[in-house]
Amino acid sequence: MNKQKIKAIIVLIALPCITYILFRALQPERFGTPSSLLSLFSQCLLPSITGCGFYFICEMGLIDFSVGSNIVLSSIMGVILSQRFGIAGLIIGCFLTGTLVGIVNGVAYKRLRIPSVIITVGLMVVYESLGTIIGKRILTLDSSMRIFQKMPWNFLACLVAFVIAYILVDYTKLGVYARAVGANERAVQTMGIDAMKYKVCAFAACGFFAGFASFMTISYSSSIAPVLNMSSMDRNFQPLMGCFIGIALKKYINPVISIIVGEFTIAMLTTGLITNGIDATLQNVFIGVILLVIVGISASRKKYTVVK
Amino acid sequence: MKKMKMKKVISLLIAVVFVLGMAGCSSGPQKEDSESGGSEIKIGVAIWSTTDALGSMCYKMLNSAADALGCEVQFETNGFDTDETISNVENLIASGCNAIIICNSSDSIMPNIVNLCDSAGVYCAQFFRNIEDEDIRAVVEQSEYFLGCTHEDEYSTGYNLGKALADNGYSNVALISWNHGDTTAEARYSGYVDAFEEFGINLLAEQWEVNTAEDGTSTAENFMNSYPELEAIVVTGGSGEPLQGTLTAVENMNKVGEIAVVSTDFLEDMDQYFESGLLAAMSGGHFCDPLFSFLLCYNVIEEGYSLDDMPVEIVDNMIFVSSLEDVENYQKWFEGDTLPYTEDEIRELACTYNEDTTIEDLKKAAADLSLEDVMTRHGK
Repeated sequence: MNKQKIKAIIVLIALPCITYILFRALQPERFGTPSSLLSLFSQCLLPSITGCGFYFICEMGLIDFSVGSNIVLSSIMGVILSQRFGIAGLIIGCFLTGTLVGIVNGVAYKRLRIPSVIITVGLMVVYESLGTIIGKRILTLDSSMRIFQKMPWNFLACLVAFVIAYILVDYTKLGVYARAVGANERAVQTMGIDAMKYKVCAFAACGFFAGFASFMTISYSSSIAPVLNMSSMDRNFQPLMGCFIGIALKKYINPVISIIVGEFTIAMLTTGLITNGIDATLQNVFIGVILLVIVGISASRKKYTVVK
Repeated sequence: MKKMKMKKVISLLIAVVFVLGMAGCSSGPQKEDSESGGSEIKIGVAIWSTTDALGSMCYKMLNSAADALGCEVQFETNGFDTDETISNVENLIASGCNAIIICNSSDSIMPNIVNLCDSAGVYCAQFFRNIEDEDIRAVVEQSEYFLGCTHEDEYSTGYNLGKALADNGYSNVALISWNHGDTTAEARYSGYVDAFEEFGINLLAEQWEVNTAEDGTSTAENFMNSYPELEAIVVTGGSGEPLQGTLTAVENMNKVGEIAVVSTDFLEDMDQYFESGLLAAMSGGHFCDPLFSFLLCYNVIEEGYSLDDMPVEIVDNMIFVSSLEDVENYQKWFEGDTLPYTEDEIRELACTYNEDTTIEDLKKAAADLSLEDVMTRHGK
């Protein structure tokens, strides 16, 4: 194990540990009880799933701002189909919509050949509008279909998502070429690999994980409301933060693990700040600064990698 | 060649989808001329949403009013985004509205909105809002096109619900709110805090910027984990989603009966929550608020009200419920087959149908609105 890898593992272990020790010391009675840690871990699973989807996109130097709207639209479709077809409708509605939206994003990116930031912002407003037209108002999932709301089923479902992500990252062409395209797209094309094909696949994978996240989101909070005016954008930021940590440490650790640890740390940080009476606006300042520090430390390695 | 043509067609189709999507995003549903359709009056509505629990009822009420008065109503939604609200007003002016009613997210945008309306010669009035900032109010009220506002006493809403918590014996509470800077959120918060201080309730923790159901769930879970002494959670509002998330969290953690929830903005299924004891008290059902601003604009355009009397401040009431019986009455008389104001009752407040109606009648109607008032009018 080389020095850099040890450093990365130390950073990853230190992140939650330091956060825990700090807030535990400040609020020994309020913060860090076993039940609250379990609850925080359960909360970090949703953005972690979305973060896994983001990884494939961000790793290739792309961005997908429509993920939040995909989650809203997929949740709406899931709830509507669940009213007709039960739990099967919920699962199909969420996963199918999420994946389809991802494929549409990829195809639109391929056909239009304009930057992903522009295309996904455009499509985000389309999906938000579709969600509003279809959903019309706040939708609630029937209580009989909330089996993935609680432990152990929510953990098991998320475990499935993480295993899929882990395999995709380390054991499939998509994972390998995502890293290669991110490092040097021209070199990849010179080797005769169709980079665009894998970009479309990355959008589809991102959509699949957004669909998975929508299934877990609606199971967790049991209600969803359509949104407009890019309000769904908020849902992108926390997963993106975890994704950045994953990318920063990807050379040494499978990003899925880093994403989960990163999201867990963010969840602890938010709760720790609440228990210390820090205002929500200041909480965001803390989280943003800490993210920059983490990624800054993690990225203090050779800037360019050779793709073989 | 054929492939190139195909590409062009696909690109064109995608472009059309984009444009339609953008249009769908920037505009809420638009109601066409009503059946009677003789009038050329068109009133614009800049609202946060027409799809959530409160917004959808406002949409229904205003469409009913437009039908009753034979005028047109156009909705633009903004999600409480300041820039979007200004864009809403620009769009409504461009689409030929004679007047615009606005639910603004903060006082600070009102001078801009009034400037736009002054330049276009379009009347405007606020709903669900008044201007708290004295300096801004002075600037806005100089405009001859600003007609005034309809609002609830948001401070009292918070204060009364805070008092209800004390009356029910709760002494340790946590608070969830939506965005800082929103006039309504801040006013309700002040009311709650004053009531807590006055009645000896301990505010253990608060979290702002909670706008989605899952944020509501996770925040409530964190409160319950971190504060074992917690007895009640206050959700100051946010049109349903954070409240729904909070209720889910209490159920998930098997704390029904131990933790009570108090909030504003009614839910469709709140009867179940009152039945289980999860909800202790609620205020809401104030979707008639925009109707009064709508009628204010209508009557000014039709010259039923004198501009010398403007701007006016109309204060209406939240509906308070604290038992299952209250909820059932509310659902029957406010959200049942008949809305709180029938088309005849709306016409009674419009100068084209009732020459004798005055601004005082409108103010009185707003002030009198309550569960009992509707039950009496509609023949309980």
